[in-house]
Amino acid sequence: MATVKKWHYGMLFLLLGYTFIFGLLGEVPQLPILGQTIRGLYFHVPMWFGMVTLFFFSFLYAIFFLRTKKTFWDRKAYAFAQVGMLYGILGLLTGMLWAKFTWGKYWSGDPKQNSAAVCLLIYSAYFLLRFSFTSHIQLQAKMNSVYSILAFFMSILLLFILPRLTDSLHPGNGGNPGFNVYDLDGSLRWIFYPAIIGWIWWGIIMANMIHRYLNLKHQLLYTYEN
Amino acid sequence: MHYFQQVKKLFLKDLSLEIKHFTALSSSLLYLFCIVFIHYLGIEIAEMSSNTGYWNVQFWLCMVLISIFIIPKYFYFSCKKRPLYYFSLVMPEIFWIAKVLYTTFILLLISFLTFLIFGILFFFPFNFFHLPYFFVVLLGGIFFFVLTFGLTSFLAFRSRHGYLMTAVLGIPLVLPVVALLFKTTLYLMHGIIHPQLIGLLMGSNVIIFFLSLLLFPYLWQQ
Repeated sequence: MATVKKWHYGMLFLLLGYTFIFGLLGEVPQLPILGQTIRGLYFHVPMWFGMVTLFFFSFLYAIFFLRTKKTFWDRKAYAFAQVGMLYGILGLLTGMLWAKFTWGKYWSGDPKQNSAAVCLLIYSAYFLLRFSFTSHIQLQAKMNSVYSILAFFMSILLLFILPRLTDSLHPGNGGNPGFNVYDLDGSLRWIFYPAIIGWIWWGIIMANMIHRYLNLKHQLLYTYEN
Repeated sequence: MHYFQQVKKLFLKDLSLEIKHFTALSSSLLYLFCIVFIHYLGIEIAEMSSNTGYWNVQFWLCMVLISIFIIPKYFYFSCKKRPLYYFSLVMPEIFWIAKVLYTTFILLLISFLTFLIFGILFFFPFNFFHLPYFFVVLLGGIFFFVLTFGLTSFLAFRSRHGYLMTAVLGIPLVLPVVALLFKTTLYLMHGIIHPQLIGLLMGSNVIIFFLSLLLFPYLWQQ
């Protein structure tokens, strides 16, 4: 099994270090209401990009499992869903922090907030389904892959289609401008794009590590049982 | 004192089992959270429609609870032994379509009855809004409930907790569509036909129908 190459760590250190240092200390455009909270762009938005990417990989590996019937792919799908869930929770928390200072409340029932919360609920049902099988690995993998495919389609409906049909206070929705309007001199995107690449890369590497751990655990259990 | 000791022993036994099998507790927690969230979404809509009454929210909450109760009866309890015989006769997709159509028919009758009872109890005028459109929305909502709860019944049948898991797995999947149904009927009550919302409802029905056709063969084979 291939381990993570050293230069991946180096690149990640550079990208995320750059994001943290310049994202927290660098110059940002001073705007009314938003103020310093505009720095959330480097930490909140990449979380959602990362979550969708990781859930997409999880969905792909679920399809691979159903095609090949090898539980290797199912473990990979599980690992990616785990990291995606972590990103979702972090995204929700950073979003709530941002909302406290701009909308006035941590939770104001905005369509975007609601659909993100429901998306996390769907994936927590996926984990519950996973824990409710104990012995039959093949059956567990099959049921989980089916549920994962359903969950991915519903989360696409939730995150990309539903909030667009209703009025929302979230930037980039319902007539509210996205970040492009605030980015007057193009200084935001010099940190925003590296931040997206860094966070997604970090997520994929972490998911692969969890996958390796799950594979080793599976091998150990399998040898002890037989 | 002797009985008191026995009660105490049994109580502690249940507690330790609960901690050991934490999935049972956490699944009921997820169910609880989803139910609270549905009510939360409903209250938002109810606040918007204070001048026309908010029976639509209550109607859809009733329909969700009724379908959680009824749909597993046709799917979960029918997948014990007899399906093996059916699967030797027909393709699994054919079995699935027939089952879904029958359950939709039954649930449609029940929902008409619910609608009638709502009409009698809430005194709302039936010609208040576009009734044919309301029935289209009703059919869309019920078809979606049957498809999702049917699939999760088959998923739950294989899992350790059985019947309980149908609702736990199904409700989060149904939640976005329930929000959509709240909104669509809210617009209909105000006399507005929102073609985008109705189109999205139908679109999600079509997507989940084809997905279920693709995924069902994986669910029944052992």
